Amino acid sequence: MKKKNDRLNQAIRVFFSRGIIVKISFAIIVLLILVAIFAPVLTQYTETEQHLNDKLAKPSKTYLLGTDNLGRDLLTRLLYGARISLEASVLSSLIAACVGIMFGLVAGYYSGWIGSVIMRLTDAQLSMPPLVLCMVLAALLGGGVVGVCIVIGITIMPGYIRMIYGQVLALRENDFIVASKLVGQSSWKILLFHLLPNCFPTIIVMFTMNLGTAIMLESSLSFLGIGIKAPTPAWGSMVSEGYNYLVMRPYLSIIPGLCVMLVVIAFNIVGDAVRDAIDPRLRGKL
Amino acid sequence: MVRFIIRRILISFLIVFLVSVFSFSLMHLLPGDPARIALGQDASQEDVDALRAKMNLDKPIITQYYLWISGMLRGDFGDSIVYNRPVRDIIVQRLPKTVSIGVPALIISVVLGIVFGVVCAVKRGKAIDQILTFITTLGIGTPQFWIGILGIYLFAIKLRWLPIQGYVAPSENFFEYSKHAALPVFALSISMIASIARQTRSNMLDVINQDFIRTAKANGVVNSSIIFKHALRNTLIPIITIVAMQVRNVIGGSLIVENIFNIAGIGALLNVAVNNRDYLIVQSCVLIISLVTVVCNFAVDILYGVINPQIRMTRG
Repeated sequence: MKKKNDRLNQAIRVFFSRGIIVKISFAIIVLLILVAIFAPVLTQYTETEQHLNDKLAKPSKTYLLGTDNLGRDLLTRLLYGARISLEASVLSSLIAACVGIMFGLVAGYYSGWIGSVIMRLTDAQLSMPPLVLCMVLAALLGGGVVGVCIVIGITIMPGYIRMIYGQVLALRENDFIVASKLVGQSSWKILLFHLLPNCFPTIIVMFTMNLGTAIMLESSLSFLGIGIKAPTPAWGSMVSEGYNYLVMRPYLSIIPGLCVMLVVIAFNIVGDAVRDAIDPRLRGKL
Repeated sequence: MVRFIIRRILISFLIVFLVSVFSFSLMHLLPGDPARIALGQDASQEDVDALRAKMNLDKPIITQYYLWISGMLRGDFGDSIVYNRPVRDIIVQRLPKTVSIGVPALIISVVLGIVFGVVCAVKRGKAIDQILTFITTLGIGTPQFWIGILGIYLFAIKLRWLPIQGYVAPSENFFEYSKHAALPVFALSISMIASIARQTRSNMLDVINQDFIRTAKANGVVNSSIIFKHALRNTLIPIITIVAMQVRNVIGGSLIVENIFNIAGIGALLNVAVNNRDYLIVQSCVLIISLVTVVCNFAVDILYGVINPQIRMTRG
């Protein structure tokens, strides 16, 4: 037990040894989560409330960051936008992880024709740019938060499939797998109780790193107008709505974009730190 | 080697085939009748039926797929419902715009990315490495649409150095082209420079720590010669893969960049086509895009096989 604790301490030390940047990134993520939870408490307006007499108002005491073209408070929409971003990234990463891990395990364990079929389909999917794939899928699945999450989940899934496939191929040759086969354990038990737990470190690292990618894809889709539909306050669509007023009110599109950037970078940096803490050998691979 | 090439060709064909089936079935799963959408809600049922027959929509789905794919192979992509013109003409007209933004972006990214990566690896741990590594982290995490809009705000609206939007062909007026293309190329290349630099750095570090580099140093080979002749050469192989992967990102990025800068290229076309259910344009574009990436990957695989015989054996 003590040994386990030491390893945990060691991991945490490495996590923060990257210094101030990792700490700031970590703080940004904590802030994002808090804002997403407490959005209704933090502001007196609701995210779709329109003040038509105060369209495109400048920042003032009533509207701390001003209002958009429909007289909606920008700060309120930013706070609620944090909710959407967080929801979209966690949900789509979960979808990608669950489905991707399953396919990766199956493809690696039954490497015969099932494996080939899964891996060739993955190759086919990777031959399309992620954003193009998202766009085509989004047309089919619609613009709700859940639809967008499924789309993004499918799009980032191949990463999991390839990674788990590779790991399972290597693990399969180990004695403990051969031994469990010899004592007659069923395939799915070997998959779930022996192969899957051995992939956990990689899965945790990939999951953290994908959160940022998912936010980026979600905001890009929303920016193009095929992601989460109005009036839901997604940061990406706020950027594109504000873009029309760039000359007069530049902050309407620049601030939401800045939020996307900060959050994505924070997730990427924390993802890197988690990777170095859990398994430094993955550096350069993930 | 011949077996290796044949295998790669077969796999490439399989991938393109899978993509064609995927994009075809997806567009046919979409709700709504394309003929009805093309003619509008007021059109009579006879007209809609006539258009359906003309577009082969009344035939069995397998026949439709066969007609579409055999048309594609003959160079006949069908007619667009939105633009009422042959899809091929539209693509041929728009492709140069996307290429004239994408290719410069790709070249700039490869050159700068490799230079930054090498500098970081050689000066590992020094201030310049730390700063460049931090900048690449920022570059990877910055949304293209944000860079584009910030660029427009700073350079076009505030400083008035560059035009806000639009496109001029390089053949028409090269100076105007460079002015119009500067921001789009910049927005497109930032994240690519960052990811190439990152990959180059980590590959270069792997190579620098290997025995043959130490031997070269011990033998008194000049430092610059070690880096360029020995280390970089061995790093180039994985970098080629990254560059091939960036081709995909250029196309994906053109969706965003063409939207911001109002350039009527392939990315903008795809956006309009998806929103208007113009399924022939979507199918053709998706197929062509995946064909381009598959060809790039194929070229890389063959190049790999030529350079490194081990890969021929294991990957074959």
